[in-house]
Amino acid sequence: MENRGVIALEKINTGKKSTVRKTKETSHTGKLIKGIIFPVFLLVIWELAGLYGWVSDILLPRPSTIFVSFIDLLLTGNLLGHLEISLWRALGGFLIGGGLGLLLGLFVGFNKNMEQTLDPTLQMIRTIPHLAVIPLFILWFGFGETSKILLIAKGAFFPLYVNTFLGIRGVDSKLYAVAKVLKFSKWKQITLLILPAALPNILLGVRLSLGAAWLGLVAAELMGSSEGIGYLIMDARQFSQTSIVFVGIIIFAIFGKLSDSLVRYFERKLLKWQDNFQG
Amino acid sequence: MSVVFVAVLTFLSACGTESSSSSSSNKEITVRIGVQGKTGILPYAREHQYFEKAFEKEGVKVEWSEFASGPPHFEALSAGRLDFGATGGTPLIAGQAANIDFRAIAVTSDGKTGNSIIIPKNSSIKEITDLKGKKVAVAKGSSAYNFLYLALDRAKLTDKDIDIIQLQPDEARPALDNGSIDAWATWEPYATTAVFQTGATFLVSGKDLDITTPSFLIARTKFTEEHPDLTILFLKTYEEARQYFVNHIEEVSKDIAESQKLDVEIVQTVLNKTDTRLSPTTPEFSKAHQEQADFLYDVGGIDKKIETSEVIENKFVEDALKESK
Repeated sequence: MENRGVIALEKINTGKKSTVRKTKETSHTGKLIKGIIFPVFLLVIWELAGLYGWVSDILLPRPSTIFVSFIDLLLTGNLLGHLEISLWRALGGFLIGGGLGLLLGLFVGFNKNMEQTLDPTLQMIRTIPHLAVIPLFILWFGFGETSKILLIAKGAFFPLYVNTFLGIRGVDSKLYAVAKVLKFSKWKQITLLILPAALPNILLGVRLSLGAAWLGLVAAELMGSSEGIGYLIMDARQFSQTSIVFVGIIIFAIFGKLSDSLVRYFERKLLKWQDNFQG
Repeated sequence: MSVVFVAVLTFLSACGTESSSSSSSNKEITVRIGVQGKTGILPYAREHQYFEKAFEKEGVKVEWSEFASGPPHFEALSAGRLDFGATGGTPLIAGQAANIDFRAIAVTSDGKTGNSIIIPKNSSIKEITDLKGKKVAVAKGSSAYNFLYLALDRAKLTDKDIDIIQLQPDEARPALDNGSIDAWATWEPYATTAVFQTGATFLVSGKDLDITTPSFLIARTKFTEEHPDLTILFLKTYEEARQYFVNHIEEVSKDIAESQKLDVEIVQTVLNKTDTRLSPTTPEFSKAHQEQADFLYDVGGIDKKIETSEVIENKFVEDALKESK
């Protein structure tokens, strides 16, 4: 952040050009280029490795082979259809699980009684691994969308729950004392103090929940599904078509990054008032 | 950036495995054999250490890996982590279509009675055509997958007429039991076990189709090139176990039932109806196998036309059988 106050003062005092280093915000394209250098470098090495036979084509297909598989899937393999189904599942699971996580996080955060009753149970459920639970969910809910969305919801629930709870309890008690002095009503307390203070944590929870929703999606589609990107990966495994496996993985990675960037965009807008270390 | 991380890791491990197959001297070689299921020759031989005893004389160790079905064997083969295995014919077709380097070194069964499609008790399905629009579980790329396509073809249906659900045997069984799926295309002993234990019935059995779909012993090509003697020894030991197996079915059934915690009746039924042999890939078997490859390509089961004779290698088993007489 530029130290405008100091610079202005300096100009008045000395008439000299400011000696305080202004931190220049890197331009948007500059950031893009910096972020892309490493992946592009890796891609080049990868393609060359395949070309010169340093790695087996089956274990690690070349980027060009993967690209060809991608185009093939797009044109003849109904890739967009699978992608659509996967996205809907992830969204549904995220909204249900994340929404519930947010709500419960708020309840438990505001109410110590709730915390003592609910939190221990929820912490136990949190540590149950996805893969162990899949067969059970399928047994109870069948092979349709229900078991898959519920599995994704289970994953998306906890990051939002934990971070919302943390955010609310993390409000500095000094600020709370100030609110009391100013005789804030309960409503004002919540909307002007607690929620804004908890927002950074809640948004972090959203990012983590989105990530967990993607992971849950892969796990849910690995067993007993007949469509979706995870299904494509599993299907390709049965026929040792490694390049299709990579197409699936890369698609997951891209959409994971896109959804994360979306949340960070909102973060920047909603947390403009924050004044902390920018790195 | 986890894609990058995964890519780097895979890259490193891929480079590593290329050099992990050791040199031609016999010091510290380990033979890695894959097993699947509970009632075949390999699981039985493993239980009684046939291979350990035979290879010990050559100063070679034996390591076993378990797989849920045929296709995962090929994953391990392509990573250089498996040397021998026994699978149905279809996984070979899928593996060859994926350019995996392996050899079919012997035929272990004519495959006529190994596969079937079963339906749960009280199912409304009466014939194959009733499968239309139903959920059918199968392990894709396995011999049962091929069997399913053959059965559909007989009934003039295609894979678009049914809803195929990819499941390994241990996953499909609970699904059959609780009604999540309407039918299950699988191989022995899973089919007979379900029939005995839950009253499921055979919708289509091998007898109904009576098509030869040979099963094979597969080997990692590089291993057979570097250790032809050990390959022959593997086949000789297999034959030794097989001879005992087929000549003492009752005793073997009790043995397997006990060690694998299965019902004796189930095991004996399965063993009695299975064709268990060890033979070179005769022209007859080769033709039958090629027909399966062409069939799967025609119905869209695999995406490439292949020439199956390219992976067949009979010299090891011919030598082994000569020495076993």
